[in-house]
Amino acid sequence: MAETSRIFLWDPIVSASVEALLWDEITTSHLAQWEKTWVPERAAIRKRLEDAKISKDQWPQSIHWEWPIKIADVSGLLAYAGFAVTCGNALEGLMRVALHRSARLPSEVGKPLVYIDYVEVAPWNWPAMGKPLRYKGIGTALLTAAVILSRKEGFYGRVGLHSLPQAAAFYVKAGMATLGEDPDVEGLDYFELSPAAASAFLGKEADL
Amino acid sequence: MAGKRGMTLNLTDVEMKALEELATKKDLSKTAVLRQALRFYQTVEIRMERGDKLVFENLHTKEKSELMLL
Repeated sequence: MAETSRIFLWDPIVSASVEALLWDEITTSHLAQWEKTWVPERAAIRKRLEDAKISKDQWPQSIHWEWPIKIADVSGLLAYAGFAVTCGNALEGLMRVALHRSARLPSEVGKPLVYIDYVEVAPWNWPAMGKPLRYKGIGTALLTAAVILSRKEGFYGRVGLHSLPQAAAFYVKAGMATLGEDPDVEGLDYFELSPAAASAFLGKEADL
Repeated sequence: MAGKRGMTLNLTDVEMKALEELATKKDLSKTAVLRQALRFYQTVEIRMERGDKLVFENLHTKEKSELMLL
């Protein structure tokens, strides 16, 4: 049974915080919402980009992600967990994490961490799409959930991930250390949050 | 998340020593080591049932060896 916690997102249109829910599981209902709302919005964005003749290397780099496949791949496996953010009836963010990976920072090497496999916000929250964002703070809420899970598991807040280039600046701002390009993961940059950086992140998450 | 259930685990001296060494090395409690072990074991079992192989590769020599699980 999925549990929820109350979180707050920022509505930039009315300049006010709004109450939202963080779910500690991605449910079939979330995946149905993804299909019903994210997929058509994503198709509309794709059409706008094609019509505007925007080069594909400028497109949102998660535009092809299929969440039902990502969740089905790890269904029933104890080494994986999922999180969702909803606000009202809308699905605003999704994250899949792995719990069986190890840290790479020299001071932490070999110690367990929460590895963020995939994290994505709803397409209407993608920046630079020519429309105002519906909400801000979803990525921060999901990264916070990963840090809290890491502490709960006894991993002292260690979190690692490979970032798509468009998201790298966010992880730097969150205080994650960059360990450079990983040739084994499509040349993506690898980022890691140490226990000390995790504490600092939890202290400043509201400012991100 | 589901609730938790307790159990008693009796280990030999050698098993306990191995558990304690892993807990120290991984900076984990003994309970967390066992929870991680279960995650690994279940992942390996399910992936092998799907037809995957478990292979170790030496980082230096690039030599690969398959771990046979019976």
